[in-house]
Amino acid sequence: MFYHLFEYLSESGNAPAVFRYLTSRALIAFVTAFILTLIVGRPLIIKLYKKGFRSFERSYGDINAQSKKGTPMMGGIIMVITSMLSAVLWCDMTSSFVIPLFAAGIWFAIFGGMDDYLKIKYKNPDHGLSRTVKFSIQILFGGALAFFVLNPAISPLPPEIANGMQIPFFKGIIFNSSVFTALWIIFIITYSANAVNFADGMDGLATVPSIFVFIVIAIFSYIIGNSIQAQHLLFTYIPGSGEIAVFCAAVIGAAVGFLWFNTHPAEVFMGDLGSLFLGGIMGTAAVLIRQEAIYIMAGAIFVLEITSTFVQENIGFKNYRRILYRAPLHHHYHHKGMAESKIVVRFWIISAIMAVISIITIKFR
Amino acid sequence: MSETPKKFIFTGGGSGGHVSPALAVATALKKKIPDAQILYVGIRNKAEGKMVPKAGFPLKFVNSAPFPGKSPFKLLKFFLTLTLGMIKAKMILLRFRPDVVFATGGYVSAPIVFMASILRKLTLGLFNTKILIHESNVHPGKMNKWAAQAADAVGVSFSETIKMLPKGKGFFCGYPVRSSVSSVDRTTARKVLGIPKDDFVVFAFGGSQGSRTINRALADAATQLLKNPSIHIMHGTGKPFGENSNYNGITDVEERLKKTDPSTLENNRYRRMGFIDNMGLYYGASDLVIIRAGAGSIMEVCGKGLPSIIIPISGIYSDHQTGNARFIERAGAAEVLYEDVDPVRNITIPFVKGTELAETIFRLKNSPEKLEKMGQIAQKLFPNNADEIAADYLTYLYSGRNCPQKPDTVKFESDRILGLTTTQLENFLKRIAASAETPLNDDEKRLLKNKINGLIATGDVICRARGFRIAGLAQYREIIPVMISSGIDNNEKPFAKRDAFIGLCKLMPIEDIHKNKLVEMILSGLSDSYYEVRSEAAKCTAIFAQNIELTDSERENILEKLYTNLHDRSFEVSRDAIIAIGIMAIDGNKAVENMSYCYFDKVWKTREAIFAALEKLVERDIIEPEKALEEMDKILITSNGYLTRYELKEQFNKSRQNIEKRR
Repeated sequence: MFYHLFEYLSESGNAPAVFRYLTSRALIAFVTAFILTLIVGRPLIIKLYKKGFRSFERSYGDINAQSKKGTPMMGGIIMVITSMLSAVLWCDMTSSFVIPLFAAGIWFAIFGGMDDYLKIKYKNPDHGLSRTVKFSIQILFGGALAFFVLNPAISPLPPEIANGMQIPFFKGIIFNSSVFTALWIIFIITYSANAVNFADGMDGLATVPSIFVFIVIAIFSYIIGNSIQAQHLLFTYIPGSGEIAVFCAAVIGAAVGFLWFNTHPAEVFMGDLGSLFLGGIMGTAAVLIRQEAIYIMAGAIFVLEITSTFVQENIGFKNYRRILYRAPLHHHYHHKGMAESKIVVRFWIISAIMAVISIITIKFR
Repeated sequence: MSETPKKFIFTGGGSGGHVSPALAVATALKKKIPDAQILYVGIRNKAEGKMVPKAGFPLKFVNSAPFPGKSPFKLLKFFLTLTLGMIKAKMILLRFRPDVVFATGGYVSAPIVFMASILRKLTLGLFNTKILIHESNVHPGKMNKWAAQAADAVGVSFSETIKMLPKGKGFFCGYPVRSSVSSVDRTTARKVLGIPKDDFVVFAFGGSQGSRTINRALADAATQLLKNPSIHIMHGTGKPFGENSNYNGITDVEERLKKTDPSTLENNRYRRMGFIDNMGLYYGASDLVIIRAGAGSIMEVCGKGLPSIIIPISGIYSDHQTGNARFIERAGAAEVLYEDVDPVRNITIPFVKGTELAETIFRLKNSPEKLEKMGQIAQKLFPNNADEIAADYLTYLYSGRNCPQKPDTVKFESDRILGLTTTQLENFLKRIAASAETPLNDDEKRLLKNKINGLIATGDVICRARGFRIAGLAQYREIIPVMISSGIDNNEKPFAKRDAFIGLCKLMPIEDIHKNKLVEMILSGLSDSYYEVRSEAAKCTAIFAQNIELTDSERENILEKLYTNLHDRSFEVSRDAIIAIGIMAIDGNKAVENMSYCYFDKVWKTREAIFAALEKLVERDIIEPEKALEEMDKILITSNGYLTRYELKEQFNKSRQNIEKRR
């Protein structure tokens, strides 16, 4: 919003140009989102609690000194509101990169919210939206996104980039196929949404790695969207993709603000609303700059979480045995006795390192 | 809206059990509203194809299929079939424009019911047909559970079902049957059949194709029963229907009797009939009936005021018949015998023992007052004009007037065990063990045993595994040999083996006859390839060693394996081994020396176990207290985990409890 305002003002020569720069807007979006979250956070938490949107435990038992039962759920709504608000304020809303990001945010927030709501209403973690429905929603959005990206008429990406794959350490386009790309995009979106969902099992476990992934995506967006930098670092230039960095910054700000409340012992959980929201936007952003491989690398924690569950269920249980003590991976360590906060911080460390490695690959092309 | 509805669609089929009630209501409706237009919708090549035209109603077809489970290919095919069916249903509905739809559940009725509901919502009331569904059994079927949301009302055969439906939707009408099977009074019937009027007549009937369980049970009971000269048996064995019928009731019974007691074949107090076309005659002559628990048979028998022995069809997942049977039993109109399997003797074909059946029959025969009471209750359980009530309700739904009067219902408590999934059952038993629920009564125990047998005798690994765990919780000791052979079996799958140990643990102490096999099982388990089995075997040992005398060599063998397990990759195995060592070790120094390997184990739970084990060794006078303390000082005391304790919640609980006490 302010972007458009300052565009208008600078044309009449009245406003400083700094607000039109990407980096400034990104940083300001971050701060805005963070402060907004801090302001809005506590009242929303109280409201969620009062309305009965609270978590429950699978096992039978009363409120238990050891349990987290009763903590407000659907806290993702806090992030949704503040990040979107900040994005509206500081993004170029006409950018065709920003529109799919907003679409992803709203789409996944709605369905994530419905899933949470049903679970709470029936007081049963199995009675949220069924797996089939969840998958269909993700596939649908993935399909729509694929259509958007691959269709030269509306896609913001130049066609060679849209159809091609890029991977770290290699410059240029590796691969060129519309069909494969479409399937790959659908896969990434589905993977994204689920991965963050699985990781959201302990206080702060999904929040911080998401932040790191968004930072990496933001940096890559900025570079790719900047013709000088892109050329210098041997990336294919995609005009306008820098806006993604502003949007990401808003989400990061919201996530950091959420962390303020969510870190152990958590006062609010993000729920499926939050995890699908973050995952959906992450995946979409990665697709929009066609850096999915980097995204997977930076989000190694999510890969671990999803893979561990997959292995345990589809290889282990099919053979009537456990392979890990528990799945997803964080439960495995918890079963071995490691304290929750230790697991979470160690996963944060891994995230950070993977983010750094992803950024290093910029130089190694 | 006009007073009376004129156009009706009836749907439901697949089997006779769905078609008959629909036809019964349609016939009753036609009598009340002679100019009603009635259309029946079914699928091809099913019972409705023959029964509906015979009854004189027009028939149209749609596509449908039963829900196939999770396999993605089958699911796709199912969705396609269903979609096609719904499209056809839409055309039928839009062309015929019924005022009311009546469905008897099952997948055949799905296209019409769902399409009607969708059309109602989409057209915002322009297409306004009323939907009434009917449930034959106590427990609503899958289709009806969903359809109940869309329907305007659900007619139930058993009053208990109302509780299981959304509020206000259920109404009790009974199970519609067409013109009642003609009744013949007792004296006439007996005269026709040549039976003295004071003799005792048992009539068994397992459906038109016969029931293997009932046939075999009665054949086995025959000799005993016929010893009493006043007992007559009328046995409807059923006969095979068509070429690809895989059960021949007539020959099955004959051959069985030939083997066990050929004299019964000649006994003229034992009649065997293949197909019975004058049921009324036999009902009229009977004192006691033996049947399956299909809604139709139950209604018929109760309608005639006859006491019965009900043998429901068992099934791990489908409890329809058992639910119906137990309902009647609790009301006091019948006794239930469960067909069982015997995993101990590896009998997987369900059966009822002839001796059990004979005993039950004798018991009932010798208490004529009870029999009479049962008959009286049976008569009052269901309205005998269910077809008319349902037909009246159809009109009422449409016009909002003339609500049919609700028949009286019988009151009693709900079933606690039936209808629970295995997981829910396990949790329920755990709650009983924790004194959070009242213990099981004898009847529940009987049903539980029957279910456990079913779970264990099945080939499915997960069912077997859960069956073992539940058997342990239920204190079902007779299953112990099966658990032990499972534990020793090399081909047994890991989860099932683990759960065999878990179940066994709960059943300790074990009788001496099993001891040797149990030792073999433990030794095998301690070196099993799956970590959870090694761990549970050690837990088993810990309990076992406290209750039974072990020979020195047995003890040595077990301890050797336990010491090996201290070096195991999995902390669970080493931890449980340590606990067992604490309870079993005789040589204190050796024990300590071996355990010292774990003093710096990465996982604190292992070290925690060492403290407990040292304590136990001191308690048993295996090592000196000073030695134990010395060892404890050598163990790494820092841990990377702790128990969270929310003081706020603790205080909340404490204050709440204290306040509750003062209420």
